[in-house]
Order: sequence, then structure tokens, then C-alpha cells
Amino acid sequence: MKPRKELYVAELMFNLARFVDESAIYDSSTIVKELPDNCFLSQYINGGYNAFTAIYAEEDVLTEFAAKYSKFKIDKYDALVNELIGDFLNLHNGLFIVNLSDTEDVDASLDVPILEKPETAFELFGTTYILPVEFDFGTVNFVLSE
Amino acid sequence: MRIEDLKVLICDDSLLARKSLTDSLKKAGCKDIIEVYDGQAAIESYKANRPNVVFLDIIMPVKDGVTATREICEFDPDAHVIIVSSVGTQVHLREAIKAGAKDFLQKPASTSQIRNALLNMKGVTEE
Repeated sequence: MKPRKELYVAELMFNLARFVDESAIYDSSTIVKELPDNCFLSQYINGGYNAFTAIYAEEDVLTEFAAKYSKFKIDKYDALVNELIGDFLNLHNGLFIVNLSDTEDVDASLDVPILEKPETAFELFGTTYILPVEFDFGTVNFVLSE
Repeated sequence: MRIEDLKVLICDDSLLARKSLTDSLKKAGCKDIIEVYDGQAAIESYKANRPNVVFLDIIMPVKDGVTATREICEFDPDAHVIIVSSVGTQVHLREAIKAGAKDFLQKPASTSQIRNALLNMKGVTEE
């Protein structure tokens, strides 16, 4: 399967600037074998392109991210924050697979976002990238395993 | 029928998407709006409430929007289902139309897109 990390990152940065905060700056990716314990907000892409995607950050950073994305007033980290982060991931991944379909004629679909830590380990694919994005309010790490 | 007289059912597992859609529908003039959050609930709510139009997401827990569209349209061939989804690929669009959807809006849908989708319904007017 052809890697699509560059396309994924380009779409991600476009969507972050459009829906969250224009201060987003992408730092260089790193390749990992395992994910940290606080990485559970995730979503699988499947079909013509298969990948595992996720978002993690410190709780106060996720809270600020969710507030900026939703335009809601959110004071503390709770289930609503996770739901909103899952919503952004779903929106971004959806727009990514539309781009994939339009530009490369690859048809993929999405599973429902996972908002709680699952009992079993995530299925990681060949290469797992951490994609750190710096905002004024902290660093949000995106995960792409493809 | 005027937009303000429409009974609207919206179904999306995303709280934010439901709020955004409800806000847009209210701006368009809709007053009677029912919210549910998964495809099975949409089918049950459709049968119970018989709305004039249904807005459905695709990626949802319990039952996805394409399956819900199919079951709603089997129950009522005149049902007017509009899909509002982030996964607007050609395949998903084809599946939705094949299931009986009348329209497909890519998320995030604007208020004017929502209003136009309502005005595209047969017999619906702004005033």
C-alpha cells in the first residue's frame, strides 16, 4: 500500500488552520513502536487505504483545543472534551479520505471514533508516526500508523 | 409548505454537528426539530414522528447513516433523507443515493447550503 503521510499532514495542517487555530505549526515527525498511555482518542481508516489515527496531548492542551474547535466555553477536561476531539478527528479524516478519493481514486471509509481507552491494544500498521503540532497553547500530537 | 412548517429530524452522533445543524435550521426558519444520535434511533424516531425531512450523518454507532436511510426509505418510499457527512467520497455518495437519499452535503455544511437543501424539496418555499 502506498504511504500517504505527506498527504495526511498537508490535509491536517489545512484543517487545523481552518477549524481550530491558525497558529498551528507542524514540527518534524518521529517514528515510534508504541503509543503513550494517554493516547486513546483514535479512529481507524479502512478500505483502499488502511490506517490508525489518534490525537493525544496534556489534558489542559486538549481542553483548549476542544474549546477553540467548538467555540464552546470549556473550563475543565472531561468527557465533552474527548467527544469534541473525536469530532475533529472524524471531520479531518473524512476530509482526508475525500481528498484521497478525488486525487488518487482510492476509496476508503472510517470507523466510529474511539473516545475511551479500549481493553485491547490498538492495531498498529507498518510504520507509526507521531506528528507534533505546536499551538500558542501547547503541543498536540497526532498519530498516523499506516 | 413553508420552511418554518417543516418537521425536521436530525441524526448525528456528534454533539457539535447536531448543535451546528440545529442552529442552521433555526436560522433557516425551522421550529420543529428532533435530535437523535444513532441510525437505529433515527429509524425509530422517523416511524414515531414522521418528519418531513431527515438529516443523517454516515459514520455513526449502532447503525450507520446509509443503512438507516435504506430502512427509512423502505418504510416510507416518500421519505426525504439528506446525508450530511464528512466522508463525501464518490462511493459513499453512490451508496447513499442508492439507499434512497435525496441529497448529500459535505461537512461542515453552511446555513445557506442547509437552506438550499430544504428549498430543493418538492413544494417547499421560503415564505
